Amino acid sequence: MSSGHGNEHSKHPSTKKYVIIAIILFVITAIEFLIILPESMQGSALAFGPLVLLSIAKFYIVIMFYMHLKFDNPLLTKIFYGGLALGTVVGIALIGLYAGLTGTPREYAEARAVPYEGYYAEKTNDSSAYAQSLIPTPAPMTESSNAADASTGSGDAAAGEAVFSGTLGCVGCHTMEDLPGAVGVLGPNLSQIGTVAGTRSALSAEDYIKESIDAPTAYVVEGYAPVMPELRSSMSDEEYEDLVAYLVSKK
Amino acid sequence: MAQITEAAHHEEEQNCTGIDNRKLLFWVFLSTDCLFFGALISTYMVYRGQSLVGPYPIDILDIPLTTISTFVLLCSSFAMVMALSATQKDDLKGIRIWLAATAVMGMVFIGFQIFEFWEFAHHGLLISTNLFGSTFFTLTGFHGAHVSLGIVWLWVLFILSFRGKVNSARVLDVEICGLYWHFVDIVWIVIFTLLYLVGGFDAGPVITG
Repeated sequence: MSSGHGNEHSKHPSTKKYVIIAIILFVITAIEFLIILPESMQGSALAFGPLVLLSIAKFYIVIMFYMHLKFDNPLLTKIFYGGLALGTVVGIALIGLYAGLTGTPREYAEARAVPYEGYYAEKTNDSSAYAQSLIPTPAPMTESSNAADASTGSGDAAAGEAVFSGTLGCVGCHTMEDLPGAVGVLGPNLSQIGTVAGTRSALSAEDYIKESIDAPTAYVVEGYAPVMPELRSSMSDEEYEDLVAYLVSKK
Repeated sequence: MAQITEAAHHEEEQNCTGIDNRKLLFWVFLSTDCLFFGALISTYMVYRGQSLVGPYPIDILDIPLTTISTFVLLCSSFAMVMALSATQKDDLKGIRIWLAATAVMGMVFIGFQIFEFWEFAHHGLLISTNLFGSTFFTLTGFHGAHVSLGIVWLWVLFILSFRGKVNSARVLDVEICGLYWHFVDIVWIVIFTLLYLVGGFDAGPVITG
């Protein structure tokens, strides 16, 4: 403070005040952490209000004292509050528009979500049962010929591609690199399944692929959840053979 | 001589508001940066609880660890105001110590973040895994980028202090850097509360509790 610059900067808080402010910020953060420590408060709506209020308090203390808006030209406060208010309103509008006003998108997600073994395995010790309960069962097609003659005749691979990308929804979970839109990641990548299939179990490539469709959970590739639905009854025998031929051809 | 040019220089930078041009512009920038982070935070909140595959927040977020890194960032804000205070007093040793302390604590914070990102990737959460991954990495990644820029800025000031370019006549240089640093801190206050303390226990679309 030896030079003549004291006129503006002397209004800044003293070192002692800065220390006190730092301690207050520390205490608030510690309280926030303590609030969510009991398991009953974790993710609870009860904790939401206090947490938001405490963080607003921290926010206010930092901008007022550390960024010294309290001691500066009021115009700066107005400029900053302007942007802050605009950002907040845009945020509330977005959340209202997409997560509130147009119904409940979470219901959409709930019906389709695949639980992650990390949390559900601990909570329920039965993640696959939970997973199965979340997967909607496709309605069997009425016109499917139920002859089930287990023919080994080879199908048409080109027609199989249409089955694969069609209403069964294979592409939602499986990636097929040369097929646009087939970018799903829930199930294994099938781009080379014709080669890979023969190496997974004792079965031949064709038999392994058939088993994977007939009984999806008979063999589940490591790292994937046993969530593939039973789809054999949703396709005709011809579609089934075409699909198998298509997958076998993917080498 | 140097004092006179410095004073003349300063007078030029004033405008009819009585606020230095650089400071005025910087507050306008911070105001617009609120919109930037406001958009990213809202996007996270809109897509909260809508991921279809795991890992979900509850599976991988480490809240105690992030609380520690939050403390470090708060500490660095304190070091920053001490650096400004030292600059006003022309306390060269204090300037260097506090600027370096701020920068080092910022680097510790970034270190925590790199560790966190690495852990997430290790547990299978990438930016393309699910909506949680996309919105989380975009938001915290941009915040990390802001902190990183601030660290570079602080080290530049630290180096300039050895060339006699950080002193009470140029206090605005340190003050504006400080404004940026504190802004990054307040953005983290919001992120920490919403992503970790409030949303950190989300188990996919099924919100716990």
